[in-house]
Amino acid sequence: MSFVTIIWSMTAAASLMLAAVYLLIWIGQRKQVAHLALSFMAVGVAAFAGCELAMMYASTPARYAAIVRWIHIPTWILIVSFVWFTRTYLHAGRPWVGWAVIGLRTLALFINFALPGSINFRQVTAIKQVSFLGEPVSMAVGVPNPWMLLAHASVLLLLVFLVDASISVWRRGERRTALIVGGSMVFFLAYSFAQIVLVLWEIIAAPLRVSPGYLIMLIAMAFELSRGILQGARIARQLHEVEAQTELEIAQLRENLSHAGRVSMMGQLASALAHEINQPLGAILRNAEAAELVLQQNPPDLDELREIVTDIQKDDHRAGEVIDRLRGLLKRRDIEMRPLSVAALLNEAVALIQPYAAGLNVKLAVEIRPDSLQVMGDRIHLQQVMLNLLLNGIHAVRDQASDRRLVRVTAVLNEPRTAQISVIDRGYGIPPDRLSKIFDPFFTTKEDGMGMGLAISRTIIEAHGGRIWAEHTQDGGATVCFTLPAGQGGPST
Amino acid sequence: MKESISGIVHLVDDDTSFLTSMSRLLRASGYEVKTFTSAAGFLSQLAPDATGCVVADLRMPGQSGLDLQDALAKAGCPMPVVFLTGHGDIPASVQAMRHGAEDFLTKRAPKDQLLAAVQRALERGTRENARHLRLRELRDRLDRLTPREREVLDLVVRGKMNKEIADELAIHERTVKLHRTSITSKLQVHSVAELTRLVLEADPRKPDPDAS
Repeated sequence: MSFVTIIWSMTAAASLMLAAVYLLIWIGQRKQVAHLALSFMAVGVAAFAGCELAMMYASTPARYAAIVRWIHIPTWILIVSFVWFTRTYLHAGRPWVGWAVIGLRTLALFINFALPGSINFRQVTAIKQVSFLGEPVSMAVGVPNPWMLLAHASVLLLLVFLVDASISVWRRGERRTALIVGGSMVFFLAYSFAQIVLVLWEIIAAPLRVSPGYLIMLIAMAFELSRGILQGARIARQLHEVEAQTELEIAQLRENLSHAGRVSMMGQLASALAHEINQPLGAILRNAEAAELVLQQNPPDLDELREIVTDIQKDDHRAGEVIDRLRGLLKRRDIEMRPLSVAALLNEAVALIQPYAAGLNVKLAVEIRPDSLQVMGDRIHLQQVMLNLLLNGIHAVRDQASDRRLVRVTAVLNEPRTAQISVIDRGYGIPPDRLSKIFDPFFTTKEDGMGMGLAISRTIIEAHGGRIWAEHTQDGGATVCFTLPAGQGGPST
Repeated sequence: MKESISGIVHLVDDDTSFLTSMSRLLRASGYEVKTFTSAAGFLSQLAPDATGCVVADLRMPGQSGLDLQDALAKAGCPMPVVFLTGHGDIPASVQAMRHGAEDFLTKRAPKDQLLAAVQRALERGTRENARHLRLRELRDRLDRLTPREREVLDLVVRGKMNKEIADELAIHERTVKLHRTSITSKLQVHSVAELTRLVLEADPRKPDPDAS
């Protein structure tokens, strides 16, 4: 195989490959039209290389002349794509100049095909063989066509266009781009133009051999474009990270908001409850007072008394309904069952109450087996339960000797699907006959206590589908335990 | 059993159960009661010379108790209002008292407190009513005077002598005396002191005659 064949075939192949690659890239990113322009340019280079190769092996003048005619199509493609690429990638070069270039070249193309020969040769009279890269290749001998000047003018105008564009890019501060992209385009275009002129006007005896130069230019520009693509990919990755971060923050904020909403809703519920329940209770009171007065009449109006008694019963039912409704609200709407980490739940509660415990010189300890234990439940409500039990435990031991001032919290996995959490203290304990009573509302042994903590805790735990109970510890003290449905987590080993 | 002082207790509450029980209690305590389930219902039948007092729930659908109080004030009705509420509502209570409520109680307040408030409201209502009537009567009397007579009256209550009045109004002293006779007969008073008191009562904005 000859060097000429190898080099020109490879040039054409490499250019086609570049064309394919950039076409694919453009399909992936339709907005980056510069990639399509470059693809176009590469196709032009490939076709031009093919034509140059054919010319070098042309055996007859007629054949040579024909190729010279057809090579104007790849030339037109190249020139148009130069302008297109400069506008879409460099965003430089005066548009009217660019349109003038395209217009001129298109005109030249028409003239080329309108004329019997080509725009370059009126007639190719003979083929001469010259030595190139160690083998004989053809070159033409003929009558040059004055119309060729039109074609040359278009190329010169293109050069002006490119130089002007490169200067704009340089002035913009993008020096690297101006040099590599603009510079290579200007250089290789000028070089090939000079060569074409010299060859076609038969000033020198050599074949047309510009396409390998164009390939180098294409490769240089491909490098430049790749930098842009890589940068784009990196920025896209950074954006994704920021997006993920923001998503997290939004989720956190949403949770805070819903928490605040629930807390305020509880307040509102309590206020609404107070209002609603005071109506029937007020009516009952007034009715009873009225009945008292009626009884003092002489004789008492029995019909009115009967009405009063009926109304009192009605209002009693009304009050009961209000309480039931509140319980229902609490159960159905307010409790969101989610998988929760027991470790997080317990540690959060301990952290919240730690300062209070420390102030009373009480130590808190947490043991969870296994660490990854999860339960299904509502974090806020369960936290309330934990705080209630911890507070009770702390109060139970506050007056004890220092070695008993400890409240332990343990969590274990019982049956396959139940977690049990226990709060153990070494205080005075609970008498056996009171073990179930302590969960009744209004039961309290504290002077200022309301007696609602354990009752509410029981409501919450039972709403979760669990059980809560108390035990009397052997060495003195009390243990309050509750069970919850376990979550998906659990022993992983 | 309390003596029912003149005046009707108007109960306004959207909760019919409480309304009935409250009405029972008040009637058993000797008061005359009228019940309404809405502020609009009460206001629509309000007569301009209505006497008594109002006991209203604070929170009602539509017009609230405070709206009712405002409407009464706008209509110039002197009936005092006692507010009842299902639960403590401090901002509303302050607002109500500022606008002249007689009292502000919860629905479960002790019976004695409630009845005492109603009694005070009725008494105040009666006093207010009497004052209103007297005021109206006084103003009617003053309206009988001609403008010139009013000018003379103003100067008389300021302690001016007839001669001074004549000079100021640029009329004869005789004319002044004529006006004074007309005034005393139209106003049905018998002395300057009485005259002065009447004017002050009817129009407290008038300058104090002692200050001139």
